[in-house]
Amino acid sequence: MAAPLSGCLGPGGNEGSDNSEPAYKVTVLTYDVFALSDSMLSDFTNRTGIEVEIIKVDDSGTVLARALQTKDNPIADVIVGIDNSFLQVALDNELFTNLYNAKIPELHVEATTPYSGNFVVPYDWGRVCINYDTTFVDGENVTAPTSLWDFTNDTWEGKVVVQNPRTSSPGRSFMLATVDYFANDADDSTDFTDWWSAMKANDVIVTDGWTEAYETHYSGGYGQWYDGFVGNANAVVSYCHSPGVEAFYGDNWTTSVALTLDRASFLQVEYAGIAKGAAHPIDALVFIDEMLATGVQSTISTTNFMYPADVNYTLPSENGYLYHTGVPNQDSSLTAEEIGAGIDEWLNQWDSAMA
Amino acid sequence: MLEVKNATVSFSGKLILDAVNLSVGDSEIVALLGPSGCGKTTLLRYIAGLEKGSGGEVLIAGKDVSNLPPEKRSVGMVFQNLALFPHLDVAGNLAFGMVIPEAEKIAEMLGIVNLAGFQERKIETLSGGEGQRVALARSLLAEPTILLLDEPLASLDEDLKLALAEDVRKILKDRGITAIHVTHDRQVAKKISDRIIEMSEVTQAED
Amino acid sequence: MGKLVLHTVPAVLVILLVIAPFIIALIRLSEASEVGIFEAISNLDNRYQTNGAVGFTLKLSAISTLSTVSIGLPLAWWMGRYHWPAHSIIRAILTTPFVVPSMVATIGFISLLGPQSWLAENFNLKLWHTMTAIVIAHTWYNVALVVRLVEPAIARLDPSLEESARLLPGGNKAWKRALRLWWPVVRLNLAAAATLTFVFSFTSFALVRHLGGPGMYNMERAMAERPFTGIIGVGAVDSEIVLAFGVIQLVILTAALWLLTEFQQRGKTWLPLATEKSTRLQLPKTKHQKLLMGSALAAATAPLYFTIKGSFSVAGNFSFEAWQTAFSSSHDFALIQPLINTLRFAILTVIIAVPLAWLAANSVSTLENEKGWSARYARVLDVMVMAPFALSAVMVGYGILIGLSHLSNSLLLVWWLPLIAHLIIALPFAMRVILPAMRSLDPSYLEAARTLGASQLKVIFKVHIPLLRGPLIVAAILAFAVSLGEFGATWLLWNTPDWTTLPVLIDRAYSRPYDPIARSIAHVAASLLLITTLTLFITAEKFRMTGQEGEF
Repeated sequence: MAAPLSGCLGPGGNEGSDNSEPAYKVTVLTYDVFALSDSMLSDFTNRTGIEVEIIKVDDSGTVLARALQTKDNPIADVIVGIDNSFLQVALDNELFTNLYNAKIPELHVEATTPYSGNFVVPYDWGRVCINYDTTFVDGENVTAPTSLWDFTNDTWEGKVVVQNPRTSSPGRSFMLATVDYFANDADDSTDFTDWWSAMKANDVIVTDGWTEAYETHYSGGYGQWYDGFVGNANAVVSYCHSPGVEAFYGDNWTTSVALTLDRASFLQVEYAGIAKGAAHPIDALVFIDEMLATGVQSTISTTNFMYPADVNYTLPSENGYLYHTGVPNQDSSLTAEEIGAGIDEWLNQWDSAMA
Repeated sequence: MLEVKNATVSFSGKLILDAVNLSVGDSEIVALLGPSGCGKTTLLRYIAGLEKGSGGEVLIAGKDVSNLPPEKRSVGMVFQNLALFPHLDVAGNLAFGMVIPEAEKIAEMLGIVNLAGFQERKIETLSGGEGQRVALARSLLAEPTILLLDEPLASLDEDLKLALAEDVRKILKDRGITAIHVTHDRQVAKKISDRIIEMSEVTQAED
Repeated sequence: MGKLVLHTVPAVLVILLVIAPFIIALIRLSEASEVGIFEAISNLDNRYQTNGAVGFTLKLSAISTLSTVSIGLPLAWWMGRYHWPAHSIIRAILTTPFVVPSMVATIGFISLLGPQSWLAENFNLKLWHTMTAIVIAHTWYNVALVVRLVEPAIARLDPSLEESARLLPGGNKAWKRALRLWWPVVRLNLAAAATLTFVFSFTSFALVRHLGGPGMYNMERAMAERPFTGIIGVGAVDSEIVLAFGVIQLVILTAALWLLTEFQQRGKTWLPLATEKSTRLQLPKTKHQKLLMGSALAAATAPLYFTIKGSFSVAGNFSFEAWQTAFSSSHDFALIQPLINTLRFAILTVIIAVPLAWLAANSVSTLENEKGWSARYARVLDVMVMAPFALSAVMVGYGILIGLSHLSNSLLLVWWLPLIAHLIIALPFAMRVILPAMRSLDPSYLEAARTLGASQLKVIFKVHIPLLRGPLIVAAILAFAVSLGEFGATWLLWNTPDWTTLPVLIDRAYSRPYDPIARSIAHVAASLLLITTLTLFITAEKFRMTGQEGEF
C-alpha cells in the first residue's frame, strides 16, 4: 500500500527524533485551506499509507501564532498557510527546517518573487487588490478610479469596504500595498496614513474578515444571492482574480472588475514548510511533495481560488475565469524582509490613523 | 457508666459550661432539669461528641471517649426536632443505625413502641407522638451504651407527654439502658427518671 | 486528619484549575506586552479596534439594562399580581430566553432582524448592524431574568399587608402604594436582576460579533481575535490589548458582582410570607393587558421560531436538505460528531464540577461557623470558587490558552482543553445552588446520623446527598446547560475539527463563504442545541424547591 520512500534523507536539524523510518503519521497545522479537503486527504492516505491529522485554526496569523507559541516543542510536522507578509517573522524565529529534498516543480515567477530560499515552498499565490462594481462605476456618473485618492472623494463616501489588517490576510496585504503605493507616488508629502485617515473621514467600512466584506457588503459579488446581504459598498478589497471566480460560477458574466493600478496590488504567496523539530519529518516531506504535485496543484484554482504555484498550471480559461482576472503591470514591491522590519510600526500607524 | 469531668464549653467567647461534672450509673435514668438556655443541650451534645470543649473528659464504661468522634462513642441521641430522615420511610430510619438491618428486630421494636405495621409509612405522615416513638426506636435499635434524650416530648400536649414519658421509661428500664433525659418540665422529669439533677447544681456558668 | 485533607482538596483543585492559570497568564501577558498596564490602557484610544470599545461596552450594557428593566418590571408585575390562565406555562415561556445558548439566540436574531428577514421585509425595519439590534437581543435575554427574580417577591407578599396599606392615608392611591409598599418589596430583587443584566450584556460576545456591524466592538469582541496574545517578541500589541481590556473587565465585573452579593445578602431577610396562589388577584384582565402579554409571549418565542424555521430552507427555498446533510458524514459541517462532542463535554462538566462544588460548598458551610482561621479560609474558598463570575468567557479562554499551555505545549492539543473552560465557568453556577441549600439544611440530620453510628462516608452518601437531591439535580442541570451553550472560551481554544462543539460549529458554519447550505446547517445545529437545552430546563423545573425561586 505504501509507496516506497526512496532515497529520502531526513532534512537536517531534527535531533532527538528517529528519522530513519517513516512513521506513517503526519500532523498539519493550518487554517481553513480548502485545498486540503477531506477527499484530498483520504486520497493521500490511501496512496501513501500516511495518516493525516489536521490542527485547524482560524487564519494565517493564528497559524503563525500557534507555531511560535510551540516552537520549542512543535505540535505539528507541517505548517501550511503562512504567507509572505508573515514569513519573515517565521524565518527569524527559525520555525522551519530546510527543504533540500522536496520535489519542487518549476514554479511561476510570481511564486518565487517574495522569497526563493529553501525553508518553505509556495503552494499558491494571488494578488490582492480592489474590486469595484461596474453597475456603479458605469463610466458616466462614476468613472473608473485612476488613483487610490479617488476613493476619498464624495462619490465613494461610505461605499468602500476593506478588512482590518490585524485580523484579515487580504486586509493586511492591501494595507502593505498602500504603504508602498503612497511611498512611491508623485506626492512626497503624504504617506499611507494620510490616505487611510481620509478614507476614514470618507466612511470606509472596515470588517474583520474577507467573507463579511465581500459577501455582505460588496454589491458586485455573489453575496446578493445570500441571506444577510446588505450591498452598501461598491468597492471591496479582494483578489484580482475574484472577478474571474465570479464569472466562472456565473456563466462567464460578472459586473466586478479588478483595479489594476500600479503598486495598488499586493502579491501574496502562501507557503508550506516542515517544522523544525518535527516528530515525523519523513512523512512531512511526503506531504509537502503532495501539495506540490499535480493532483493538488491542478485543482488549486477551483478549490482554493488562487493561482497554483506550479508553472504548468494556471487559472482555467473556461467561463471567463482567466478573462475576467485582473493582471496589474506592477505590484507593490515590498520584500519579505522589508515587511518583517516594518509591519509592526505600519500596523500601529494604521491603527492611529483609523482611530 | 458515664462520667463527665470538667466539661468546659464556650460559644463566641461566652462560657456555657463551666467545669461541669456529672456521673450516671449503669442502667440509671437521669433527668437534667433547668430552664431553657442554661446549657442542658450543650452538655448533651458535649457528651455525644457533637460539641468540642476545652479540657475535660468523658468516660463511658470506664473508657475515655473524649477524643473519639460521635459515631465511635456508642452514644445515641434523640433530638428535639427528632431529625427523622425524610427521604427514608419508617423502616429505613429504624434500620439506619443497625449494623445488620433485620426485619424481625425492626418489627419487634415497632411493636414495643406501639407502632406495629408502620414500616412503610412516610415520615411526613406521622403525628407528633408517632414521630417521637420512631425516633426513640431508631436510637434504640442502634444499641447505644448511653442514650441521650434532648427534650423529645417538648412539643407534645400535656396528656400525651406524660403518657409517653411513662412508656419511654418502661422501654428503657426493660432494656436496662442508661439514659439522660433533658427537660424543663418537672412533671416529665419525675415520671421518667430515677434521679433528677438540677442544672444549677451541676454548673454555674456566668449569665 | 482526614478532615484536613477533605477541606483542602477543593481549595487545591480550584487553585490549580482557576487561580493558577490566570496568574500565570497575567504574568505572561505583562511580559509579552511591551508596555505596562497604564500605558496599555491609554494606548487603547489610539487604536482602531479598541478606540471607544470601553465606552461602547458600558453604553451598550447600560442601555440594555434600562431597556430590560422597563419591559421586565411590568411583566413581572403582571405575572406576580394576576393569575393568568396556564400561568406556569406562560411563566415558562417568558423565562425560556434566559437559558437559550448565545449562539442559538444569535442565529435567531439574525433571521429575525437581518436584511432579508421577516421584520425587515414586512415592516421595513433596518436594524441590521445597529446597536439597537443588540439591545433588543439583550433585552430579550434578560427580561426572563427580571421576571424570574422579581415575580416571586410580588407574588408572595402577604395580602393582609396590602389591605392595611390601602387603609392608611399614605396608601389610598395606587402610585403611593407602589412607592411605599411594593417598591421596598421588589427593589432588592430588581437591583440584583439589573446588575446581572448589566454583567451579561457587558460580556456579550456572540451577539455583538454577529449582530454588530463592522466597527462595533465591545471589549469582549475586541479582545477575541488576537492570535499573538501571550507570545513574546511578536505581535506585542495583541498582548497589550488583552492585558488592558482584561484588567478593565476584571475591575468592572468584580465591582458589579460585589454589588450583587450585597443585594442578595440584604435580601435574605425577606421570606415567603404566603403561598403563591393565595395572593394573586384573579382580576379580569383588560384587553390591552392581554394583548401586551400576548406580544410578550410572541416576542419571547419569535427568535426561536425563526431559528428552527431557517433550518428548513436552503437558499430561500423550503427543503430538508440541510437536515439531511447535517446528519450525513460527508459535509464539512456534518453534525453528528459535534453533537456527540458537545454532549460529552457537558456530561464531563457535570461529573467533575458538581462533586467539586459539593466539596467546596461543604467546606465553606462547615468551616464558616467555626472560629478564627477556619472561618477565614471558608470565606477565601467561597470567593475563589465564585471568581470566574468576574471573568468573561474570552478571558477564561486566554487564561487557559496562555496560562496552562505555558506549562506544556502539548496541552494545546489535548481534546479536553475546552473542558477546562467549561469547568471553570460551570463551577460557580453549581456552587451558587449547592451552597445555599447546604447552609439551609438542618444540621441535626447529619448529627443524628452520626449518633446512630454512621461513618463520615455513610453520612455523606446515605443522608447528606439524598437530602440535597433536589439542589444537586438543579446544579447538575445548570452545569450541563452552561457547558452546552458555552461559546467564547471554546471558540478561542478550538483547534481541531474532531472536537468542535455545536456552538463553535454554528459560528463557523455561519461565517463560511460561498456555501449556502452551511448557513442552513447552522440553523439545524442551533435547533438541535435549542431542543436539548429546552428539554433540560423543563426537567429542571420539576426539581426546584419552591424556596429557591428567588435565585436563577
